[in-house]
Amino acid sequence: MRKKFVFVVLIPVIIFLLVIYFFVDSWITSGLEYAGEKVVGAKVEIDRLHVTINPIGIEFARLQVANPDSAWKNLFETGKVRFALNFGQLLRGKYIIETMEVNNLILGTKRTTDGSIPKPKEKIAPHPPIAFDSTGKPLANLPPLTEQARSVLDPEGSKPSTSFDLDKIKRELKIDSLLNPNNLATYRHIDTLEKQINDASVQWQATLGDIDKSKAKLVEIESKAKSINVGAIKDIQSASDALNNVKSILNNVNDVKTSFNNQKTILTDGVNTFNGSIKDLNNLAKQDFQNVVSMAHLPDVSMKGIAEMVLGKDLLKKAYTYLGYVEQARTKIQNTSDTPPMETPKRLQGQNIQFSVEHVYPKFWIKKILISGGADKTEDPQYFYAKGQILNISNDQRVTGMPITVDLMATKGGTTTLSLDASFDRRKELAVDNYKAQLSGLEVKEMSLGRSDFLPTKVSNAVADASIIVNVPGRHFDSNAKIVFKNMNLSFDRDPNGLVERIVRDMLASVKGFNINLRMWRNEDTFDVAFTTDLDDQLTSRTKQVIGDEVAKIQNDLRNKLNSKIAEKRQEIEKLIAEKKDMVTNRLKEFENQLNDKGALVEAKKREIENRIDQEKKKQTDDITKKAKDALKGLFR
Amino acid sequence: MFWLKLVTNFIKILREGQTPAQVAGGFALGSILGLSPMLTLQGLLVWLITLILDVNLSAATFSLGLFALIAYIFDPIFHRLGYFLLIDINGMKGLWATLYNAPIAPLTRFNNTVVMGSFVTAIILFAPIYFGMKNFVVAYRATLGVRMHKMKIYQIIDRSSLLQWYKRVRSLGDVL
Repeated sequence: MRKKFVFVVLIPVIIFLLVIYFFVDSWITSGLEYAGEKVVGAKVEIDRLHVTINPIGIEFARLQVANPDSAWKNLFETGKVRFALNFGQLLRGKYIIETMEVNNLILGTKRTTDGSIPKPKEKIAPHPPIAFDSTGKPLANLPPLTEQARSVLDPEGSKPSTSFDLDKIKRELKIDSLLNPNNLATYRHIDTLEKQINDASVQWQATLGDIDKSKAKLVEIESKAKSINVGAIKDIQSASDALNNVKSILNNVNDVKTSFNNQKTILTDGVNTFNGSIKDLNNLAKQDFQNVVSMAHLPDVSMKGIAEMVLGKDLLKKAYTYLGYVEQARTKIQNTSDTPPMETPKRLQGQNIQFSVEHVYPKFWIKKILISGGADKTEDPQYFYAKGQILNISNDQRVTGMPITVDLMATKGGTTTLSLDASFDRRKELAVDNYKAQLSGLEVKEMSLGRSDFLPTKVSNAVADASIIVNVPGRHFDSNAKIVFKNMNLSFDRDPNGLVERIVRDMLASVKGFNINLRMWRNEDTFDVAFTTDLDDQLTSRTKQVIGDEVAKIQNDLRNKLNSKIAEKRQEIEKLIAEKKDMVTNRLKEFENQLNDKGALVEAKKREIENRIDQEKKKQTDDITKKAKDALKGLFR
Repeated sequence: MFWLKLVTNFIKILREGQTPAQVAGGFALGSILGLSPMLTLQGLLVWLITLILDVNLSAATFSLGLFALIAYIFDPIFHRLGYFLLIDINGMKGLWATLYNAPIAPLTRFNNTVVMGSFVTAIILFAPIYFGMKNFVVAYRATLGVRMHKMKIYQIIDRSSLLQWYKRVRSLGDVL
């Protein structure tokens, strides 16, 4: 035992405790802010945090969470927040909070400082991200919702803009350029076929050359067969020898025939393959037509196209943003796994493994967050003040047996109300998220309608009501939004270009309100959007009426020109195939005839010899019979 | 200079002063502290034992530095070993789950792969390091030290300008 060890131990311990006492508040503040910023992606600020000893807990005066999409606004800010930790569970390294009080929750407040944080360099993922089950295990290769929805929802995306100015379309339509052979898959396919046929033709010629070599064998067979003189056969023995000889010649004939049949099959199959390839040209021609129509930017007069262009831009952008939030909740709220895959942590950090057991506490559990929106008198009419409760935020719902539930009600200026009910269930293998939001009396001061290249329009001073239901069971997704705009005024940024825009503008000018139904869903692998509005019927029927015939006429013209161009090229390849086929067929036929002739000759010779043998046998039998009869006659005489 | 002084002190201790058991004890305890991450309950306990027991603190500090470097190098292996012990051995999962949900035990951070892997390694190596060091100190004091002093490399280092300069600075500090 060390002498005076009390000093050796006690002095460092006292210094250690003093340092903790003086710095613990700022350490915890920094830790919470850092963790919050990592989750949100924008600044998180905590004011005047204080650690309490009895009960062990934390309270702070204010929390501000900046909006990552708008750095000078907060997602929300709070007044005083207070909570106590369960000491018994803290000894077990678990953070269990019975009730957290959150006062004065206000949504969307303005900030006095920039709330953005520098974004870390994004690493390029080697594979597309995938969706996860309730423990974070990847589901079958399924891309995230936002990725699937991007092409469908993003109005500024890669879709080429479609013009509705028919005069302009006609003026700018350069058919020769559109029908350039380099743009036509059919042309390219035919060129490839020609090359393949010419290559194959060389092979066919070689095979036909081999067949021609067999003609010498046929000549030899013929001369051998002819050299057998049946008339010169005098006895059975010489007849038998001749028969064996002719059988041997017949075997040679059969060998040549077998070899020829094999070569014939190869050649015929080769030629027929190219005949089959010709049939593919019809599908390619259809594909070429679609491409040409797409390159011509002809307007799509379907209901979806019109509705999307009139109402799309901001609305779809917002839908895409909210979809991102749904996805974040879907992927970030996960149960911990007992058997997580091995990670590659930073040096000396290791990987923490959770060992969940039923009927005990999880690592982290806030049982209840009570939110109060402050007193009505002090409310600023430009912000939403929220109240309600959030229950059972935990790192493992299978242990708590409780899903996360959110029940919030927010008001703004006494006229706008927002209610949000949501649940995030990770108790079973398949995660299930549900949202139900109701918004009423929302003032829409300004909102743009329509794409910048199609009659940009602004809605001003409207009032909107909305009802949104979202269900995310497992890999599926289904959302329904009903939005009603009332008392609105429409203003247009520029004069209409062309007939269609004029029709749309005339129609919209008289509109004071409209309904929108937006449904987005994902079944198995495909993401889709259904966008309907009561404007559609009138708008699209009038638009279709006027431009439908014109568009059809342009399309027919394009189709005819494309077909005639393709037919010309097609004739070329069909002629080439016919030529090659005739050449192969004729030469095969010629050889086959020769082969059959020689075969018949040998067969005839064989039959002749067999007849001769029969004759010889009969003659010998007759001689013996005659001799026997003569002998018998002499005996009885 | 801190490291230079630490090495000098360590060599001095090898020659004379505390018993070989005290030096080896300090060195072996320092190896546990060096191999395992610091902020764990068992880490504090080993610190306490080191401070309470009359082991050589210079040896402990030297060993801590040396084995912290080794721990850094072998960190991926400790991670794999810890993962194997925590996840792949099904028979131990019940024990881990019980410990994880018991009071105090989770403060050891045993459920961290590096903590588990490095601590198990440190415990296994504790006895060999202790006895190895003890024998080394005995041998050093008997024969090795003299032989080392005669080695050319030792003499080159001993006469090196850096060491001479350090000795001058140290003597200046003693005078002041």
